[in-house]
Amino acid sequence: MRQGQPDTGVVATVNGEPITAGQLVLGLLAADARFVDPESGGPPDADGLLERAIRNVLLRQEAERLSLAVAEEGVTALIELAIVAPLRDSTVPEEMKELTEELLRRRGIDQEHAADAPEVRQVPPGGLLRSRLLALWAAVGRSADEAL
Amino acid sequence: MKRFNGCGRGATIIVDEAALEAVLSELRSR
Repeated sequence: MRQGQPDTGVVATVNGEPITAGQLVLGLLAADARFVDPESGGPPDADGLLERAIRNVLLRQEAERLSLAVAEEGVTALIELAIVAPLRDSTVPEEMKELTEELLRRRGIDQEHAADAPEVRQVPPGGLLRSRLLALWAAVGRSADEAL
Repeated sequence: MKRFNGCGRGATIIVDEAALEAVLSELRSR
């Protein structure tokens, strides 16, 4: 991912489905509304980015297999919460806001309309589907670790 | 390229480690 170039390079594939550098970084932005790793309480672990992206793709593929759908309103709400709202939040570090703004600008995405951008809308469904899938798996006696 | 199985109940995951490192390096440099 070089400065000024579209980060469309493929970092990994999951069952043939590519994960691009851009998706990886957008996943970081959506990881937490305040850019805090929920486990460590510190900045997101960069090395965990790929695992999170892979899990997101696996969840979506599993959801597709089970014909589960995500409400479009839910996707919009999560993007607003995780990407747009932190840009206006005075407690979010300026460098994280600048990173978000740069990544969106690089893709020609207006930050106020980030929820309308197809590339951004690809990010949240895995997280939104997680609880539904976990409930389904629990109902048939499977744990999340076993399933993913 | 690194290929491994076992995650996602038999999912095939291929990682381009050089491309991944390039992304992580940029993030770490910020």
